Parts: sequence; C-alpha cells; structure tokens
Amino acid sequence: MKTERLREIIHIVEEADVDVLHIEENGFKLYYEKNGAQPTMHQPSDHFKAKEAVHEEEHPSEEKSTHIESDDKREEIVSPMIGTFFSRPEPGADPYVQVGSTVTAGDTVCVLEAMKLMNEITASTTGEIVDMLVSDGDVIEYGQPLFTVRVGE
Amino acid sequence: MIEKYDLHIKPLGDSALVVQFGKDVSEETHEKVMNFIQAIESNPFKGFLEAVPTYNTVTVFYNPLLVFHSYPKQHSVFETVYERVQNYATQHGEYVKEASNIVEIPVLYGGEFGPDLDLIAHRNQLRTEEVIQIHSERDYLVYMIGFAPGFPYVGGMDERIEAPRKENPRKSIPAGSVGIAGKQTGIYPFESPGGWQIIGRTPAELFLPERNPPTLIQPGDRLRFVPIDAEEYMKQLGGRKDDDQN
Amino acid sequence: MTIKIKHPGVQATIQDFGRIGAQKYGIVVSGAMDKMSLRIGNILVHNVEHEAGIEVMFYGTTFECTEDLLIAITGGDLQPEMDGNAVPMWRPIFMKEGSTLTFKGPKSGLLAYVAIAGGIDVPEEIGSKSTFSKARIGGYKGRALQTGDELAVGLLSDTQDKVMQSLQKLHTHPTWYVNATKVFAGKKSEKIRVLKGSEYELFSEKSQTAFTTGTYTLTPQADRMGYTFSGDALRLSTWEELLSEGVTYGTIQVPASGKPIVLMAERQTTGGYPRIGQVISADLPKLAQLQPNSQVTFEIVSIEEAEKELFRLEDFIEELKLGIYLKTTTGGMTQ
Repeated sequence: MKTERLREIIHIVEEADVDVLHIEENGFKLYYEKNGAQPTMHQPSDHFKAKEAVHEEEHPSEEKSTHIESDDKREEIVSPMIGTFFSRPEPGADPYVQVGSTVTAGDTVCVLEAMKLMNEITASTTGEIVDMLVSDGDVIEYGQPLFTVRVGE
Repeated sequence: MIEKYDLHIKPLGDSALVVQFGKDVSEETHEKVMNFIQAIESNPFKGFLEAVPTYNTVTVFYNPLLVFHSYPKQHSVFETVYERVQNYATQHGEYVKEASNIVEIPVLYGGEFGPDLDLIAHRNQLRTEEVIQIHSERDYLVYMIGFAPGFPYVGGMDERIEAPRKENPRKSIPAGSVGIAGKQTGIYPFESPGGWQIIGRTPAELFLPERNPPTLIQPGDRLRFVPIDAEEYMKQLGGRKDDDQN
Repeated sequence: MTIKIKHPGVQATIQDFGRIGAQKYGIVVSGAMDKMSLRIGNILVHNVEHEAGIEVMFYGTTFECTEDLLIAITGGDLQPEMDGNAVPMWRPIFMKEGSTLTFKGPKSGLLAYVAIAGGIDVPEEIGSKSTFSKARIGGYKGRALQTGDELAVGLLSDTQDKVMQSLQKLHTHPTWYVNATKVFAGKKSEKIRVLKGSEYELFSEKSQTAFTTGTYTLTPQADRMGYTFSGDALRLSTWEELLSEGVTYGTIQVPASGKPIVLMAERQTTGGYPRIGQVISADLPKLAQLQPNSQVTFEIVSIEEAEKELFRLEDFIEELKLGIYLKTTTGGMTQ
C-alpha cells in the first residue's frame, strides 16, 4: 500500500465518526484506534523477508506488563506493537539483556523493527530477567509476552 | 547497433546511457550529435533528465524510477530508455540544422598575458603577428563543453601554429587565458593549473551563473577570436564590471 | 532561525541532490556524496526529500543554534555530541536554542548529514543549493563553511512545528530510529557491485581478473571529486587514445598509473580515461562512506540486478516514509 493511500485512509478515519478501524485485505492488515492513536499495520513485502508493522503508543512504558500470581512476583514484558524482534542493537553486538540480567524500569530490553524503524522496548519493572520468550527474527504480535521478569527491588 | 546510422548504445550505470555516433571527430558526426540533442530535448521521454554531448557521443541521464512508472514494463528500464533513444536517433533527418551561433572572443595576444606566444612563433618559424593572424582568421566549431564550466573543446586549428603541452605544467593559469595544446586551442574559464601554451587572454567572462544558459559558449557554437589592444582590454574588463552591477 | 558555525572541522559544506540539467555546459553536478542518508534525514524532519543539509566530513565540525531547531543526524557515525552528551542518530532531535552540536570523529563511515527542518535558507544557483567551490556557486557564498558563518533556516510547516513541540515536551530523544543497515553498514571492508565499464574489454585479461577478484584499498587521495584506490595495477591490452565522453557518479576510470579512480559527487562532466567499471547506484552510499585504508572488492553484476537493487532501496524508503509519518504525526508521536 502506498504512503499517500494510507495517509488518505488515516485522514478519513480522523474525520469519520468511528473510533476503531480494522482492515484486512490481501494479507495487508491495518488496525487503527482513533482516540488512543494506535495504528498498527502489517504488510507483507516482496523484497524483504522480515515482516514489519508499526504501532503508536503515547505511553509505551505503561500497560505493557501483565501480572502473574505466584509466590515470587513475576511479570511479563509484553510487546506494545507488532514488529520483528531483535535482542541486540545490531548483528554482532552484545544483546541488551540475557536471562539472568538485572533490569531497571526504563532500561532497553530489545528492539522491534517495524516499517524499517527500530523501536527500543523498555522494561516496565525492575527485577531479573528469568525467561526470554521469543527469538531474534520472530514476528511479534501486539500484546505478546517477550520476557518474564522476577520483580525485585 | 544500427548500421545505417552507425549508432551504438551502451549503459553508463543504471541511470544513464551513452549513444555513440561514429568514432571520429568530424563536423558530420557533430551534426548527428546536435540533431539528437535537439530531438530529445524538444520532446523528452518521461524520466529524461539531461543530455550531454561530446565529440561523437551523447550521454543521456534519466531517473530510472520515473521511467519505470511511466512506461509499460519491459525487461529492464535500460531497455525502455534504449528503445526511446533509438527513435530519437533515427528520426534526426526531420530536424532542420540551425545556423551556428558565432561567439566573438576578444583576445589581448602576447605580452604578460600571452607568455608563450613568442615560443610558438619561434617553434613554427613565424612572426608573432602571423601566429595571431592565423589563430584569429578562422572560426572554430565548439564540439563540446567539459573539464570545467564553460570550457570549450574546439576543433579546426591551423596546424602551422601547433605546439606540444608544456613539460612542466604551470601551477596557476589565470582565468580567461587562451592557449594552445597540440592541435587544440581553448580558453580557461577559471584560474587553474595547466600545461597549455598561453598566447593571450580574454576579458570576456565565460561562466555566467546568473544567466540561462550559464555559459558564454555552448556546444555547436563557432568561436571567433578577435585581437584587441590593451586599451580595449581594459575597457571591456571595465564594461564587464559595470555589467555585473546590473 | 540561525546556525552559527563555531568550527568548520575537516570540511563541512551545504549540499542537496546537486545540479541537474546543465552538464552540457560543463556545470558539475556536485550534491551530497551519500544522497540516501541526506534523503532519510529530510524525511525524518518532514522536509522535501532533496532539501539541502550540512555534509560533515570526518570530524571537528561544530555549530550552535540561536533558536530552537528540529534536526536529524544521519550518515556515518561521526559520534555527534550535543552540549557534551552523545546524541543519537537516525531519528528526529530537538535542538534547544543555545545548544552546540559537534562531531568527535568517525566510529564508522566518513560523512554525516545534518538535516534541519525548514531547510537551509541559501539561494539556489543553477537550480541547486549544493556547494561547488571551484566555480564559487551554491552553498554559503559558494564555498565550504568557515568559522563565524551564520546560516538562516527556512520557515517550519505546521507539521514540523508540531513535531518539534512534541519532541520538546518529551525531554528525551525518541527511542525509535531508522534501521540504516540496509543503506550502508559502515564496515572496514565492503563489496562494491559494478557494471562492466565501456572499455572493460580493452583491459588485459590479467587486469580484468585483478579487478574482479582482487582487493583494492582506498588511498588518502579521496575527496568529493574522486576516490583513488591502490591494488594490482590495471592496464589496457594495447594503449588506445580515447575521446572524452560523459561520465557519472561511480564511473571507475583508470589513468596511466593503473590505479582505479572512482568519480564521486563533484566529478567533472566528461572524462577521457578508459572506464573499467561503473558502481551501481544502490552501492554509492556504501562507497561514499568508506574511510581511507578501507578495502573493497568489486563484483560485476548485470544491469537488471543494478536496477532491482535500486528499486529495493526505493521500496525501503517508501515503507520508511510511511513508518516515520505514522510515528510523528498520529497523536502521540514520539516514543
């Protein structure tokens, strides 16, 4: 889908009396929520294997973890967007975090590539990474858990 | 290769191609080159950027994306442009040759402005006046502009005033210097290093960035060197300064 | 809005996409060496894609802004710093009035681009703002930037104003950035793809083999006009006097020394040396960003492949434009 066409659609939605738009057509997916301003799109590309999407969120560090009830308190860092998962800033570099790493809320834990943009994903909580739930190159859905964190001080 | 027109087209990367008209430096080849330029500029294909003539070729620059989106898809963008370029080249008979524009270049020969004039006279067993006369008595066809903005490559110099390049090029030759190198004569639009034998200097400005076209001399023009004296030189240089104020 | 040059560094010039249409008068094209990086910078700050930016070569270039600016730094990683702190590249950046931007030197690549929302307000000469020093046209007074120069910045569009304001409110830089590895990787050795040049067949078999299989090293003789490489000398089978012909960015000429010279952004319009190859457009950013002593191998590809690579890059840009548009204009811009 061409940029101009998408801009048109977004413009129409902005003007229209709808809050949510969901288009699925020939493998192209667009999810647009007006008031939250959260468009996500997913478009297969002929030329690039990686699948991308973009997602807008005003406060990405909020609302991206869900609580799991257990003895030691665990939280999942979930994806705020659709995108391709990368554990390191560039091939050959050290990963942002590994199992066993201690993270502080706000630390970058990975990047998700969507529409040729790399989006740094930050930890919403302080603690220890106890599980990495996805691998490099995985296409991540909105809300998909990425890491499990044992919440610490 | 289209034999009839002695035409050869080859890519220059993915955004330009070179059309070759013959292998020689001749007025006949030059005419084909200029006809082609006229044809393509007056009715450009979509995606055409510019055409640059040389002695026996024209380089056609294009925007491959515009071409791709403007014409039915073929094997490659190059082939699409190739076909269009072939048409321009084979249509050239329909274009009427325009009379050459004659550009007069006033030159103060010899003295400090033409330090090699005596050398050329001595080498060719002529008096300096004879060198000046031979150099200024005929018109020179401008085949192409290159090397620097407004620098003309001309042909047709009298072989009686030929001289080889300097063995040790000068570090700096002033703008406007008129020189000879081998069978060539030319004018330096800018101060630059160079190995040409310098016989004089023109007060004329060759590079005119505010004008369109931005150079005094254009491909296809004919140059006529007009000897002037020091007084006239200063007058024209002064006139040019006034002109700049406009 | 104004930019004050505090130090020009090795070389900083104003460049856009160059002068198109006057080569037949000998007017050099000039323009950005790595057009793709300048283009992405302009997309990031919502300028027209060919707007002029500042091309910073190597290190040392330092400037201050006397009003708030929306900028993006792209190209080679010359370790930009704003008021002493590392500033991230490939994303829109709010540059506060009175801030100073400087470039410490290359971590990777050779040329950085600073795109400024509103563009640099210098006149177009012969259709371009690009600096062409020899003819003293374009850029700032027809020359490279010097200490004390003051550049005016054009007016911002509503969108640019909104983006700048939302960045200002953020109090931090965006956490998203362009995945630039598709454009160039800034490696110490690169494979550069070429088409056979017009005179390729005139070179000796030995030279053809050397060119296509050997390693060539970028010498310090590298500037905006051309990059000279050293390696196995390249020779014609028999010397032929050639007539001058049109050349372009990426044309690989071989003078009598046998050392290939790749013609760059500020090349002359015509050349008379035999041409062994022509770098494909898609690889010009990689080529431009090579540091002296970098090593390259030349790989011959077909014209179809060269075009395909160019279209791939264009697809990348199209998608990127959409991504940046969504990031910066739909509601909650900037994280």
